[in-house]
Amino acid sequence: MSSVIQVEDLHHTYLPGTPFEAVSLRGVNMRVDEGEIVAIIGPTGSGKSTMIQHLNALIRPQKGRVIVLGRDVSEESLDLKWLRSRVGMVFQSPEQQLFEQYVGDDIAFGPRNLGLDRSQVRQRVRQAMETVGLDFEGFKDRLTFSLSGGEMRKVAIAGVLALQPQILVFDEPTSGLDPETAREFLARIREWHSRQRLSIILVSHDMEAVALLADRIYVIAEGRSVREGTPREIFSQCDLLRGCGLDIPQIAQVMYGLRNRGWAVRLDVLSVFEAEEELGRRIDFARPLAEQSCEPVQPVR
Amino acid sequence: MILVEDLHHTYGPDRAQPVPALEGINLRIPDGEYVVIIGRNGSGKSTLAKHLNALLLPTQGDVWVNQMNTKDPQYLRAIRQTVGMVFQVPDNQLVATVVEEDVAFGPENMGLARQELRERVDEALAAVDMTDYRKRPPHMLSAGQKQRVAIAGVMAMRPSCLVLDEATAMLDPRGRREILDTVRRFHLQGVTVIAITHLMNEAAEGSRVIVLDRGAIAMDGTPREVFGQTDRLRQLGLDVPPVTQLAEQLHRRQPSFPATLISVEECVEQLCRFPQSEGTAA
Repeated sequence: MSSVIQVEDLHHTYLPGTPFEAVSLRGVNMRVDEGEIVAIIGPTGSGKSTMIQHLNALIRPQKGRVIVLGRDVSEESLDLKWLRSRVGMVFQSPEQQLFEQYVGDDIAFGPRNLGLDRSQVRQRVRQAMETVGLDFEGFKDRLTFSLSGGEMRKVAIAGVLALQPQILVFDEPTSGLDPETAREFLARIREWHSRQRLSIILVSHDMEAVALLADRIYVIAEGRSVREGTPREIFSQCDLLRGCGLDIPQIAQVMYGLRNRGWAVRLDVLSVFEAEEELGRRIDFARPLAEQSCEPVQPVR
Repeated sequence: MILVEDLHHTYGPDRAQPVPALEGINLRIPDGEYVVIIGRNGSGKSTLAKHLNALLLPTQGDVWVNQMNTKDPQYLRAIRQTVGMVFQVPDNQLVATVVEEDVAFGPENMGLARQELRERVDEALAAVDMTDYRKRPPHMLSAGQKQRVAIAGVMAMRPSCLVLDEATAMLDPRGRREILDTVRRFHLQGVTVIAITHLMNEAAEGSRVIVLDRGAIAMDGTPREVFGQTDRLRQLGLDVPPVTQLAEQLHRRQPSFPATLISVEECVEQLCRFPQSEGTAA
C-alpha cells in the first residue's frame, strides 16, 4: 500500500532566536497509508496542531521532511492551491470560521477559488451538502447565523468536502457536540471514508471515538511521537497514556481496574460488547456472590 | 438558592422568525447542590445558564438569585457577584498579562481594599493549585491551567454559586480531571455548582442531573435515576456512560448484578463480588 503522508523527524520551534522561543516539535515521525484512518492523540501542548499544520504547508518544515501525496512540502515550487485542495483541514470548532451570509455561498467559497464554473460549483456544493446530511434546497439559502451549532459544523465541513480532498484532517471533530450528534458524525466520517477511499487523520481527546474509528494511533508527547500501534495495542498501555496526561476508554478502565485487583482479564478491550464477552468468560455468574471482596488496592481513576 | 419560575426565552422576539429557546422552565436549586445540565445541541442549556447571572433576561417568567430578581437592575452587581460563570474557551476570559493580575481583575472592580484583594487572590490561586504560576503570563500556560486561572478569577469574587458552561470541552483528559477535581473541592466547601456538559461520565459527578430538551426540562434526578433510563436518554439525543451500558448488559445476564452503575470504580467493585471462573485467576 502506498503512503499518502510521510513525516520524518520533524522539528519546529516557534519564534526562534527571540526571548519567546518555544520548541514545539522535537522529532515527529508518522506515516499515513492510502485509505487509512490514523488517529493522533496527545495532551494539549504536545505539538499535534503544529504537526498537522505542516500537512497543507500552513507551516513549512524547519528541520525534517514532510511528504504529502509524493510532494515535499518544503519545495519552493510547491503549488499551494493544489496541496490545500488535496488536504482538507477541519479545524476545531469549524463553525466559528463561517463568514458568508448564506450557507450556499459559504460552501461555494473553496470551489469558486479553484476557478470552477458556476454549474460545477453548484454541483460540488450540492454533493458536499448531501454528504454531510444537509438538504441542498432546504439549506442553501439559509442564513448561516440562524443555524444551530451542529448545523453550522456541517456547513463548515461541507465547505472542506466541496474541495474534494484526498486527505481529510479533523481536529477534535466531536468536541462540543451532544452524544447523538457526535455519534452521527463519527458514523458519517466512517461512511465517507469507505465510500471515497479517503485517507483520514483524526486528532482527538475523545478516546472512545478514537477506539471506534482508527486503524492506527500515534501518541505524541512533548513534541515527539512516542508510540504507534493499533487501538488495541495503544489502549492496553494505560500507564503510558496516563503518564502523558491522556486516558484510555472507560471500558478499558474497568478492565485495568480488575487487572489491578489481580484478575487475569484482557486489557485490549475497546467496546461494551467485548467487555461483556470477556467478563462472561472470566466471571462465574452462576456461583453465589463471594462474601469477602477482593483485596482493596489503590483506587483507579 | 436559585429559583426559576416559568422561564421563557425567545431570541429575536421582534424578528420575522423569533427563535424560542426556553419554554417554561421551573427549577429550584438549593444551596450546596452540584447540578449537571445535559441535553442535545440547541436544547437551551447555555441560554438557561446565562439567565442565572443576568447575562440574559427572561422574555417571560422570573429568575431569582437569593431572592433577588434578575430583572431588577439594582441587583445586577450583587447577582453577578453571587453567581460566577466560566465558559468553554479560557482564552476568551483571560484579560491580563500576568496570572495574578488576571485573577485580581474581578475583585478589584468590587472596590476592595488592597489587603483584602491580596488575600482573595492568594486564596483563589491556592484553591485551584496555581500559586506557583502567579507571575507567569497566562498565554504560556496549558489549556487546563488557563481554565483553572479563569476559575480562580471567578472564585476570587467569592460567589456562592459557580456556573460552568462546557468548561472542560476543549481540554485533554488530564486538564478535565484537574477542573473536575477543582470544582469538587469548591463543592465540598459549600459552593453551589451548576455544570453544563456533553460528556456523560462528567455528568455522573454531580448530585443531580437535569436533562433539557427543546427548551423544557425532560428529566431531573440523581445521576443513578437519570442514567438508569437508557432508552429515554437516547430518545433525547443523549447516552449513558459506557460503564453504565456494561452494567446494564451484565445485569441482564445476572440479575443480582446492579442494573445502574455510573463510575468505573463501583463497576470494578461490583465485579469483584463475583467469583472468577475456574482456572482464570491471575
